[in-house]
Formats: sequence, structure tokens, C-alpha cells
Amino acid sequence: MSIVEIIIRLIIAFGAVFTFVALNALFLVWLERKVSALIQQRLGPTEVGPAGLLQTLADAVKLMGKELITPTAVSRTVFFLAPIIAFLPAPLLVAAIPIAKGVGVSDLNVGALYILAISNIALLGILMAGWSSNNKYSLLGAMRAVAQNISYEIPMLLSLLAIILMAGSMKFSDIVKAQETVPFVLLQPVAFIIYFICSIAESNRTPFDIPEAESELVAGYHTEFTGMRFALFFLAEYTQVFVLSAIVTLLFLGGWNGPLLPPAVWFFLKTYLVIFVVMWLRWTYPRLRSDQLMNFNWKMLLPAAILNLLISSVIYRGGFPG
Amino acid sequence: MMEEIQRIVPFSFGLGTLLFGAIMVTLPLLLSPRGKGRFRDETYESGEPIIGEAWVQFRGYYYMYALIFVAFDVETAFIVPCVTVLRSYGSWLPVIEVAVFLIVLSLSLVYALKKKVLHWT
Repeated sequence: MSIVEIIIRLIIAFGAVFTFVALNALFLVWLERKVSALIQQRLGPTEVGPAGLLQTLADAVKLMGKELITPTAVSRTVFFLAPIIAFLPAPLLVAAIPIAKGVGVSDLNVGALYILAISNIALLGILMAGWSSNNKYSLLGAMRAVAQNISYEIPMLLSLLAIILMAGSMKFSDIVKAQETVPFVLLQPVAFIIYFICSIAESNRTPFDIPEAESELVAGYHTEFTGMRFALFFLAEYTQVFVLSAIVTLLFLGGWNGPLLPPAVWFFLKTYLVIFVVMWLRWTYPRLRSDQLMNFNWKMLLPAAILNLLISSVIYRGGFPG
Repeated sequence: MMEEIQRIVPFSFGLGTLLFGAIMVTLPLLLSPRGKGRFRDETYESGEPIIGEAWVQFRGYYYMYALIFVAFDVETAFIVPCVTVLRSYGSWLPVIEVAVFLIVLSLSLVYALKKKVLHWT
């Protein structure tokens, strides 16, 4: 394959991933507002476009025209880089998710591990944002985010290991193939619950949103960011919601396996169902206190995850069918 | 897509994203109005006069969590290869190895819990 062809293929893939990231964020923000309206018995956006669908687009255009304010007290270089670094993992993660067998930008041999490794770059962006702002709210938010994310990382990895054990591979297509008869959510229910809780905590959403708790920290780590800089954080967050739901779908809900409908349709159906549940949780539960959050992780989730891996390595050792 | 392209996807996508991000945060400089005002560039502190800097010594407690995270995360990373081949290996050997490793891992957790290191107050 010639070098020109490779570059053209890369640009097409890049364009596809970015279009998806943008459209997905536009849709998810609208969905979030509609879901919250449903739960709180309001109407949500109704004016712009059919059922308010274009409201987010209008908001995005508005954000483009907003002034970028750089306060005098900030550390300028880090302040400039922070939103870019926070957004960096989003397309990288979307690119690593296969939609159906052989469909998708890449299906890496170490897919599951790659996702965990790359998604932590966002944390670096958050810490850079919080520290460089030279604002007390931002710094507190960023420190909380780091403490929370690194804590929930460990049970997440341990429950992921239980899935790798079941499938004997870290490649997403192999993991999905191993679920053709029974999805792993039935064989590994404890790992599913732990992984789901941890991935919501990693995305800093309610009930785990102490890094940006509005009622105490204004907006947490992005207090000082305006216009497009704020929009990049926002875009990163909503892409992360999609990614976490897609990973839960691939690891536990059987991915693109399903009767009648084409595989890609099944994949998106399951993913957006998980996204709906994540939003539902956000608008139903109150925020945890930081001590409750940390103690819940270290005293409940981590021992449970270790025990789960121990027990499943005994039960599912060589030769067990399914 | 082909193997060779897949290998350079993370790197090239990373570069592309950095470029995209840089464009996104410089584009508004051309589009947006420039505001004026005495307090426009001040740090936000709920409208009150600012008291000192935010770059102060921070609660040392976070450091303990960072230390324990490193210990656990590295140890967990060691189990990954063992777990990957566990089922296809077809004997009790990797199971016992994983078990020994996890028990040692949980001993350190028990120790940390006993010492109240992981108790957020």
C-alpha cells in the first residue's frame, strides 16, 4: 500500500471519528436535557428544530462567539494546553471501539487495556486545568477528581481482569465472540456492577460529581474556562459517556450479538440504552460526600473486586464451557 | 483496516486531535468580541475581593492515596498476562499463582485498612 493511500485512509477515518464525536455530543446533550425534563416533569428544549433537537447546535455556535478570558493570575501555557489535553483521549478512545465484526477504525489486540490507559490522559488535563487556574475552587475540584479517579481505577481494572479471564483475550472482537451464547453480565454479575459504578465515577458524573459540585465549588476545575475552552471539556465529557457505555456493552452485554437486526444496530441500541441508564442515575441520585465516596471504594468495591477475581479464576479455569 | 494502518492510528489521531483542539481554542479569537472592564481578568471568587493565591500547600492526605494507588495498580498490572492465558492453560498452576498474588495484594489492603490509612475523615 502506497504512502498516499495510507494518508488518505487515515484522513477519512479521522474525519469519520470527529463527525461522530461531534454528532454524538450534540445528541447526548439534547438527550440529557430531555431525560432530566422527563424525570423532573418539565418539557426541556422545544423551540429550536423539531422537539428542540437543534438547541445544542445553537448553543455550540453561541459558544464559538464567546470571548476567551484568560485571567491575569493563571499559568498561561498550562492554562492554554489544559482543555486540549482533556479533549485528547476522546477521539483516541472512539477510534479503538469496533462497532461490529470488522467494522470500526481499529480493533487492537490490547483493546481493553488500551482504553483504560488512554482514558486517564483526561485526568492529566483536569489536573492541569485545576492547577493552572490559580483559583481555589478549581484546585479543590481537580484534586478531588484525581483522588477519585485513581481510587476507582483499581476495582475497575480488577473487574476488567475477570472479563479478560473469561474471554482469554483483550481484543474486543474476541471478547464479543466469547459472549455469543451467554452475555458476561449473567456469568459475571459482580464484575458488571463494580465496573459500571467505577466507570460512572471515572466520568465524574452524579452521584460521583464531587470534582465539580456546583453547590460548593462553583464549577470545579473548569471555573475559569470560557467559550470554546469550556466547550472542549464538555465535548470530552459527553464523548466519555458514550465510550463508557460502549465499553460496558462490549464487555458485558454481548456487544453486537443479537437476533434479526444487523450487528451495528444492536451495538448502538445497547449502547444508547446504557447511556439512558447513566443519565437516569444522574437525575435520580443525590451527590455523595467525598468521605463516603472514598470509603465506599476502598472498603467495599476493592475487596469485592479482589474476591470476585479470585473466585472466578477458580470457577472458570480451563475447560469450563460458555 | 490493514494492520500497518492500525498500528499508527493512535499516534496520528493524537496529533490530529491536538491540532483540532488548538484550532478550536484559537478560532474564537477571530470571531468573538473583546470585552473591557476593570475586573474582567480577575480570578473568580464569587465576586468577593481575592484573598491570596491558590498555589498553597495542599492537604497531604491525597499523597497517601497516590502511594497506595501506585502499589495496587502496578501489582494488578502483573496479573494481566497470567489472567489472559488462565483458561487456555488447562491446569491449576496459573490459578494458584493468581490466588497467591491476590491474597498478598489483599493482605496489604487489610494492613492499610487496619492502619486507618484509607479512612477519609
